[in-house]
Amino acid sequence: MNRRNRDVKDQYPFYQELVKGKKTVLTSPIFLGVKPTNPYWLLGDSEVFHQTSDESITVLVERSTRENKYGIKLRCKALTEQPYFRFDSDGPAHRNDDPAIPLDEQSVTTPHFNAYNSAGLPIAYKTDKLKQEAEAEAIVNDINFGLAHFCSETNMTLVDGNFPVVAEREPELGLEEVEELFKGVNFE
Amino acid sequence: MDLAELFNAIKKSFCGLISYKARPGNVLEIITAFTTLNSKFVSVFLKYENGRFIVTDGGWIQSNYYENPIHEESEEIIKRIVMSFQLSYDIKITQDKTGLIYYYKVCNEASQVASCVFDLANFIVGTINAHCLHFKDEREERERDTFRKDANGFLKTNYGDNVKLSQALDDLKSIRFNAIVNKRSQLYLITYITGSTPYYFDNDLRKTIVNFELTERSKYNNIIQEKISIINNRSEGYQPDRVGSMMDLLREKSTRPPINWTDKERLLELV
Repeated sequence: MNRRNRDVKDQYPFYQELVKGKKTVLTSPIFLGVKPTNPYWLLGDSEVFHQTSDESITVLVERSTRENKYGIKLRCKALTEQPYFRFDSDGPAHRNDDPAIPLDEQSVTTPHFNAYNSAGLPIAYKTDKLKQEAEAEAIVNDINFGLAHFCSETNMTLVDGNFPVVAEREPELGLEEVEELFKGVNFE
Repeated sequence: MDLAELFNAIKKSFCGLISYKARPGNVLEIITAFTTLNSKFVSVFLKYENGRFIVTDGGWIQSNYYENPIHEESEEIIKRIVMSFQLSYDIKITQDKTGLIYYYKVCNEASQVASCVFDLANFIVGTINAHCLHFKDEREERERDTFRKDANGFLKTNYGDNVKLSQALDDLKSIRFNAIVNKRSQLYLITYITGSTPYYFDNDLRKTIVNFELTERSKYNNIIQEKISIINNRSEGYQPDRVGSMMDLLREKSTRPPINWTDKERLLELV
């Protein structure tokens, strides 16, 4: 399976500019509504203004109502169809399968960021904050902490310099805390 | 070089990949050393309940937490592969009240848990990889699509609203022709024959022969003016010397000799 993203590989300086360049999120709060393609997920987005690029950029925030899991993504279709930068609060560990990395260091557990290297291959990494257990736990359990950390990692703020927040249109949906995994599931 | 020592280093590295996360409700997520083709480490979830150990995928396969691509056109073959893995590793299925599917194994003894984890992790790797693979011949799909678009464009330019693309006759709904031209209440059936290899080309050829033959049973047979095929003679699968007898049969079932794509203007004289 070829996972190399050729669009990113061929336009790597542009990719880096899209990740690291100063960006402004145009909407806050970002309202989450039921995702059209999956009733157990909420989805919201905002346009993002990039200081040095006119291309249309969107930040997408998704949250599962079944589990304590959310994701934040940046998408710029002028670069590539796939989101070009992501944060996963939960889910499987990613393998950075580079022979130069010792095998037991190739696993990057969640929460983690997903980016691309200059060869267009997906790589996952943890910031210093995510490496600290207490900080990581706070981010995993609070989507607004996660969004702030995502914005700080990708050089994004609101016009007033603050970080955006998310809010839910239908607060009755899945706000109860998950106390027990697989509760009520019948494993015969 | 002490290879036995190297073995120990390898073993340490392998084992170093395995870790865990404590989950709510006394559930342990075991992050295994097994990976999928799309570079995800497989996790299994361990729960102790009513004196039994339950090892499950946590619903991650169906939730697509492994982010495998979805190839709807290969759904049937993927289902068969997953079923085979399920039988081989003796994996059970249940679902929660929202319909989320959990794959799992159960054992009564702590000494059996590792084996369950091993089986379930293998099952997850196989299942996710089945979704990651391309069962369709991508080159063939691409070339077929390009030819279809070119031919459709040619017909649309020349026949406008009189041509219907990918169309069936009312009484033979299961048989689609690439195009049907309707002019002065006379029908002209058109099929395309192409293929990136002789195998795919022959398939198209056979399909056209059978479809033209079947139209003889249609109630519209008396208003079908022409049955014509357009041959992509620039495709790699086109090897006229190989398919002599089938070409003869095609000529027999068509009303006109097939038209080569490089000579496509000839069609305008017939339709």
